[in-house]
Amino acid sequence: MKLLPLAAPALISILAPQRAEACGGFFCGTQPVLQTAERIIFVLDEDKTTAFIQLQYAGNDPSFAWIVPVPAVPEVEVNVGQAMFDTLDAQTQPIFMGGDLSADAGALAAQDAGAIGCGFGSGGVIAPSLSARYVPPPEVNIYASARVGPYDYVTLDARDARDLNDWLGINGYRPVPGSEPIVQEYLDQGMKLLALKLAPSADATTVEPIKLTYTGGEMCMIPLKLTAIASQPNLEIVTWVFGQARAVPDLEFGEVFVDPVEIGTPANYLRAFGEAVDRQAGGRGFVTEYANSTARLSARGNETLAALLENHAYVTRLRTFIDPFEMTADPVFTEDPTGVEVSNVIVLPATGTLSSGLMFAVMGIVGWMKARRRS
Amino acid sequence: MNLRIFLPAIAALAACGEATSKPELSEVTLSHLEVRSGDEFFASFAAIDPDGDLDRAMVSIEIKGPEDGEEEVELESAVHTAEVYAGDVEANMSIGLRLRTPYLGVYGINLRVTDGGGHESEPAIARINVIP
Repeated sequence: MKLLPLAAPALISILAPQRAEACGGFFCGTQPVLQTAERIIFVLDEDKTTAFIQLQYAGNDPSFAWIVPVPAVPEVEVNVGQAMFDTLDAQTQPIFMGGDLSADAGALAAQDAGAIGCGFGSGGVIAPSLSARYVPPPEVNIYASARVGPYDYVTLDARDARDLNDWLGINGYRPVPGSEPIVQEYLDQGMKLLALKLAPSADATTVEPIKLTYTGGEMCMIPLKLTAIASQPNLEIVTWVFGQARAVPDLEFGEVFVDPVEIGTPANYLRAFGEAVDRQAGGRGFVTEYANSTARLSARGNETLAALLENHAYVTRLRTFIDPFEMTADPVFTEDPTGVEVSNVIVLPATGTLSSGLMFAVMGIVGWMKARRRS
Repeated sequence: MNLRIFLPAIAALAACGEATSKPELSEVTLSHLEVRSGDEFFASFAAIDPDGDLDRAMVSIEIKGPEDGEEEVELESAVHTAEVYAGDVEANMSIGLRLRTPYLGVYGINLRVTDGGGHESEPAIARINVIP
């Protein structure tokens, strides 16, 4: 038995979709500081947009730079807490019923990927060398610069991405060579860049979630093109969108449905998930794992989550796994008031049960044979 | 005029002029105190030259280390800052450096600025730790 069908992606909202924008690429130097997963909560309000961003990363580069293209100067906060993400995740992640549930549910965890460097691997002994270049004073515009929690941050822009990257480098951030064309694209679109780094005294082994708030309605976007530079294969992205209606991915990324028949057992979920994304969307698609009224969820004592649940009628959970070479566009999410609910309960076919299509065919043949006997 | 007084005075004035024509460098600020081999880091400092002939200034860099290593690396590089500071008495400069080395440890960096008149400053010194 299949789940309730997802809303046809071709349906276009008759209302102007709410838009909100922010998220993060993750730069490193030549050290393999890997972005292993990304969890983001977008909150769409009439007069503002908020993004809670949590990065999970592997590595110990004490001076990584987190570069986020932003449409306007955001308010930056920390201390939003890991617990909100965990509580939301626990209540909206897939739950399996039926089928062979004895399969290892540990397979639901994100697949491990082999370590990958940031494209600067080396082998053998290198001959020492020194190169130097004079850096003319970079021409940048600084809009905000402060310390918040363990981070130093700056919001800036420039006409030339080279100037922007040089300014970041001189001031202790660490832009990655090769990022300039992508940064230039964002600058040409009129966007600013928010750069964060761990303050010198901060604990380099933890990366706290951050909260960005913009006034006005903007577009809900994840800057994957930046993420591609320092991401491992099969990056997991889980996004929740709080608003008044179901959120759907925009044109560049498709909406993907994972057939329970293809899943078979819980242990096979992620394999079926990945195959569905590749087959239905060429590797660039999101699966809606949950879309429903916020009244069905509990804050479980988390104050920030309680406020979100109280002030927003709907929440959508979208998830994907994506490789760096597929990160050639930035996914955008908009609200679709005609979108239908999606349950996170996946009912698997019982072991040995025929697929629904074959089952109907068999039922049709049996019915025909009965009708023939009667006649 | 008392020549015996005048000549030493002239010599003193000449000596003073000779001393002040060398650029003076402020303390060097490094963008990072730890880098990995091949990472670019930046050395920023101010150069003050009363002569105002920082045009065609030349920045020379010498890196030596690691300080407690068995193998010693000594590398030199130079970079022109031509035309940018013509006529300036004081200039803020940033130099991007990239050290590739298989030897980990602390390296000493000596920076010198030579002005358009060929006068070389005393070195400004910094230290960078090359980590795995």
